[in-house]
Amino acid sequence: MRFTDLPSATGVSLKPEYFADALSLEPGETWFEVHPENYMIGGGPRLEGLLAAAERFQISLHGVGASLGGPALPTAQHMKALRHLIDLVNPAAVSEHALWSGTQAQYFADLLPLPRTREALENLSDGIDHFQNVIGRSILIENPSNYLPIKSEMDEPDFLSEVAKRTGCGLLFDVNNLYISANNCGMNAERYIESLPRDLVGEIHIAGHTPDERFGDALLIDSHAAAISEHVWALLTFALQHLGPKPVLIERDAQLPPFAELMQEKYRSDRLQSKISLKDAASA
Amino acid sequence: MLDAYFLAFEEFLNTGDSTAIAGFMGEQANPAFLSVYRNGYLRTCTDALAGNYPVVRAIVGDEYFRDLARGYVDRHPPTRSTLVGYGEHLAEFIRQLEEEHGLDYLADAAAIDAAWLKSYFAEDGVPLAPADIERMGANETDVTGVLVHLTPHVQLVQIENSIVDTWAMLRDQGELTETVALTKRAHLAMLWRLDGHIHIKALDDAESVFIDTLAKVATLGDAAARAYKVDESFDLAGTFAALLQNNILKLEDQFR
Repeated sequence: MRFTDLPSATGVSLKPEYFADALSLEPGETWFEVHPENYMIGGGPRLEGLLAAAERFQISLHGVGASLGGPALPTAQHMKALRHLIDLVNPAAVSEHALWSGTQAQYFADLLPLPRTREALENLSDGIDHFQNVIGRSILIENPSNYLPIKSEMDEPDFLSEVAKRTGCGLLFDVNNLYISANNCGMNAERYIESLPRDLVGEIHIAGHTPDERFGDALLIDSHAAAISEHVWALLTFALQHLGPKPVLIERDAQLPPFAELMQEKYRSDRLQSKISLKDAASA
Repeated sequence: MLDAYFLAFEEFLNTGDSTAIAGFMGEQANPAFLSVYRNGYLRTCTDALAGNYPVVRAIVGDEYFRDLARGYVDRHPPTRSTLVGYGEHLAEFIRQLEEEHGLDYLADAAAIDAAWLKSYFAEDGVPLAPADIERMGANETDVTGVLVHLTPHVQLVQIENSIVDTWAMLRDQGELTETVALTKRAHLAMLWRLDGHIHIKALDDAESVFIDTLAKVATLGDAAARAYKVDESFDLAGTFAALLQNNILKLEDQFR
């Protein structure tokens, strides 16, 4: 099954601060990712900027607010606004997280972990089924950043793969999240990657992380507020070797650098993909 | 079991009491690491408020704003799955704390900050254009008899102090570059979006009546009659022309 129309090339996060830079690129030079919750609005310059970008580049809508594994399904208001945005943007991919972020009455504005239990698996699958039914398309589900281990019944790759099999969704593999989880919780990153079904992975994310103010490197935070670390680049190389060429996203949400710096990271990722594609071709 | 997990996590995020949620953590877990989630929730919300209410923040400074925002998050946690526009009740919250901060104009600043956000993210709507007026003339339609409304990006804010110029200076420059004297005066401020930028104007009494009447959908004739009752010298032609030039008026659908 095809989960995405994105090319096996590298895209970057698009923020309103980058609109002018983004629109100065040649059409097709990259693809862009946005959080739909920031664009589920009536109109104005922000939405106009996204629509201008969508006319020239492929767009990935990467949600952070649907709380698919949470105690309540996403509200009708949320889904209506998302559907409207999908109609406007015609995204090449839609993705969300294997997490929760709120209750019926409260939004916690954070990506909160789930226990990897049978019950949580069924609940998350119900949320994804509902979400996919409402928007009428398959989505990709992202692995979480783990800050401390939660009592669970299965490994994360098994949990996510089972959710994908039940719902027909694909997986969005976030390399930085895995690096953080390995650091904070002792997961074996390479074994994790080797457990991922290559055909289910539709997209890869890489991003920067920061040490916690109090606990330092013992607790790495998925801040998206720093350059991508060499550890994550190394893990991306390993992932691409195992998974093959995939759309890769350079994520940046805070401490925004000049656009050119993000593009340098994009070009580095593209070069990496080219090398691995050539190796694949040579060994085929 | 999953319901109990969600309840325990929710309790921790809202109160900081980790007793219940700690029972769900693995044996190797350092319970102190849970603070990441509570700190993240509170910081994301207070950062959103700081971004959404820049003039309030400029007036009270970072330290007091953090305290204010922290209290607001406890009292009015986010309920929608986005923080775009979060802080809808901040003006009222600030008014209730007036004895503490002693700034009777702070709630006005918050109300205008909130209106700025609404205007910035609103639909464009289809504004009444000079060509519409010409078309009415050609059809011998009485312009004063058609129903008119305001475009979606227009916001009217009731404020109690003459703070509009001060607010605009703080919004644009982040600080006051000259001494200002605020006076107590209940009036309407109007914000609207033109070419992607938000504009603001303090309305005089007749303008307030005229525009507020149109905000509820009225004919231009009715709105003008009400404005003349307040001020016989109300400049209808000048006001109407300015509203047209700024894309502030729209026709009700039946007259399009």
